[in-house]
Amino acid sequence: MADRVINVLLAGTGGQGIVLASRIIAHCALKSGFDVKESEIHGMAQRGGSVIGQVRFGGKVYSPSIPTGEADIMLALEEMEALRYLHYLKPEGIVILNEKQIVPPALDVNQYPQNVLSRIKEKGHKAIPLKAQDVAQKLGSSKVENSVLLGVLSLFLPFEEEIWRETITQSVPGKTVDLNIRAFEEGRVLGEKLLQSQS
Amino acid sequence: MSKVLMLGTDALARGAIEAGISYAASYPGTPATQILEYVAKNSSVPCEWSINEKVAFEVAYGVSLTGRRVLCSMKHVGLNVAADPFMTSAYLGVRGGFVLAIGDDPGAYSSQNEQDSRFYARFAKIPCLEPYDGETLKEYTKIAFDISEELSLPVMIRSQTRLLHCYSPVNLGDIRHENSTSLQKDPLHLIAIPRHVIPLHRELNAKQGKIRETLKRYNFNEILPGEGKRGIIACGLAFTYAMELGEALPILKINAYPVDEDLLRDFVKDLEEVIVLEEGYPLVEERVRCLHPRVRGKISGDLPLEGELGPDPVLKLFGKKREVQPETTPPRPPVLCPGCPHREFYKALLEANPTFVTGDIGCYTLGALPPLSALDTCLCMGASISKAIGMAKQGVKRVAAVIGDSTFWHTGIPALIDAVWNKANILVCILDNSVVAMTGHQPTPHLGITAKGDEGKAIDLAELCRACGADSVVEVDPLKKEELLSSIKRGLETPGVHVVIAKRPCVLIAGKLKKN
Repeated sequence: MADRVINVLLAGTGGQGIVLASRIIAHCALKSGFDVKESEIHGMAQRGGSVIGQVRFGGKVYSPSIPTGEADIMLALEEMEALRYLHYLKPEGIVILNEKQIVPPALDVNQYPQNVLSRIKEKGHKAIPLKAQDVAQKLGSSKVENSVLLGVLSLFLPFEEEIWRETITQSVPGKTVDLNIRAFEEGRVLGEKLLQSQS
Repeated sequence: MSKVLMLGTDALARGAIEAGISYAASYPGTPATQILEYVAKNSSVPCEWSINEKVAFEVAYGVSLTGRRVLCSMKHVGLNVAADPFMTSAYLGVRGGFVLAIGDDPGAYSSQNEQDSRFYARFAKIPCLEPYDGETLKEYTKIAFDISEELSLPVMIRSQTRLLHCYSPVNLGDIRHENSTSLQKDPLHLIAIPRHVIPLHRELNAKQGKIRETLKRYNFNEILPGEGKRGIIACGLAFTYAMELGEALPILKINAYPVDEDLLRDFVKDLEEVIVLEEGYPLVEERVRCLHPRVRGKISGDLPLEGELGPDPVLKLFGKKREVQPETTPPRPPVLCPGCPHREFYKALLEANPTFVTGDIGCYTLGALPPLSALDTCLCMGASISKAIGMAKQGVKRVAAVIGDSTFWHTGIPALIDAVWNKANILVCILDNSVVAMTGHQPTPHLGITAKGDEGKAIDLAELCRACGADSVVEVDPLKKEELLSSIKRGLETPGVHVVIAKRPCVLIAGKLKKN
């Protein structure tokens, strides 16, 4: 990979674990020899609001913020949030879409955006949809949902698989390491399948 | 030396630890909260959550009087609370190095305004450093202590949410020894009474030349040569936006204030156009407009005056912005947590039907939003009770003030005393969840635990309110609806100052409290 900066955007809601997922990606980047900046906004986000995480890595990264229209890949943990930040993506940008709908308490269910996947595709983006929670539940705990998603994401980022494993091991609670690693591996396998079925 | 990834707040705190601080004082507030938390959890340096920012500043000033180094951190609006000691500390000067770390919040991600603390540094005539990444957050903080001792002035580190909440690689350095304590009595310099003021002000003014010399020696502000007749003046974090443009233009990088006028003149003299990039209010742009006829920035209307600057408007100004069309999506505002005891309180308050509800700052401010829409005003920390007094004094009946426990400790107490003394007819509702919930559960005085997690001395909130002279004080569990409702109704209908304490721990810490 050249020295150009790769921009990864994570979108979701407060409580979905965006900060930890973003930091895992940032650690992988640093261990892989890249300069990196990861930007997160705390505070009100804790209370179930909309949250984004931004990870930028490359030869030299200056700004912590990804300009709109410049993200290479988006990891969306929730459908409506994918749509909210879609304009951060480059025209050729990729969306890993967790097919999950979290309806805000004050919103009428009927006003929740429909056909998110097709709206992403209409914009010309490549979309990789999956139900990470189902995969995680099959493994034994819906709490490792994000590791499944990181497994899919890992197929698109220039970090060795071993670096991912090591970083996840160091980042999650001790008792959950094995489960998270299995979820990550499952995500990689599933991601490969989804990619093959698309090509 | 290997690089580690650190949050900006942590890098700043680490810089202070490496500089050999002996104490740190702060009041929680996004984005500055984690600075003190890092000191508390990752060093042996003693520290405190102070009751408010004014007290934090004064405690820190006391540490400096002993000749030792001290870090005082707070969010931008906290400096309004601490402005009184802050302004005069510049006149008196400091002994041990005193660094004031301020977290501004352009974009108001978690604040009531977007004020720019660089203006405070200018107002107080003290030096201000503005880092642009994790490494400079740490290094500038470290250097700021040396500058503070060299000039005998507090030094401000001005940062902001985007940088303080950015995770980036930082090189760790060695930790310097602490200063030894040395008390010096020096009435002319330490006592701000009228006959000392003009000589002290004269000394402060005489220091201004020395500030410029010192800042110059460290090369905080420098010209990066380039090609062409357009040049960029880039301040603090905005330097990173300038570097992302990939243009070969000359750049004047500003990381310290006051900015030397000769440097500005030298930079703009051969340029046809100057672009000024800065997060916050247009402080530097204002100066540059006096030196050059063609300046583009916020005042000229080329960049937005409100909100976080960020890279987008900068790219647009240079014709490098990709056009994007955001999708329309319903908002997802933050809400009170499921099971939050505040919600039950608000339901009862609405049922009691007060005429006007004056609000305050904390998690419970979320009660202002639909579906509850239970607050009618929010101004600043501690203002709920005082606003209610003013309204009651104009004959408005059934006014309720709603304030959280930590906000009450912060600045609500003097207002309660004011209400009692001046015989206002108001209801004061204190939402007591035992912690500073909004910023991540820092302890408050009635919990009796200090920032370090040690045992402090607990203070009883209800007894305090009684000692302030309130006509009635009742503690109610907000889950006991009938009892809460009748207390609120009684408080609204009976003349005098009535306090209802809705007491139940924050749901996020309830489990933890039980275990302990």
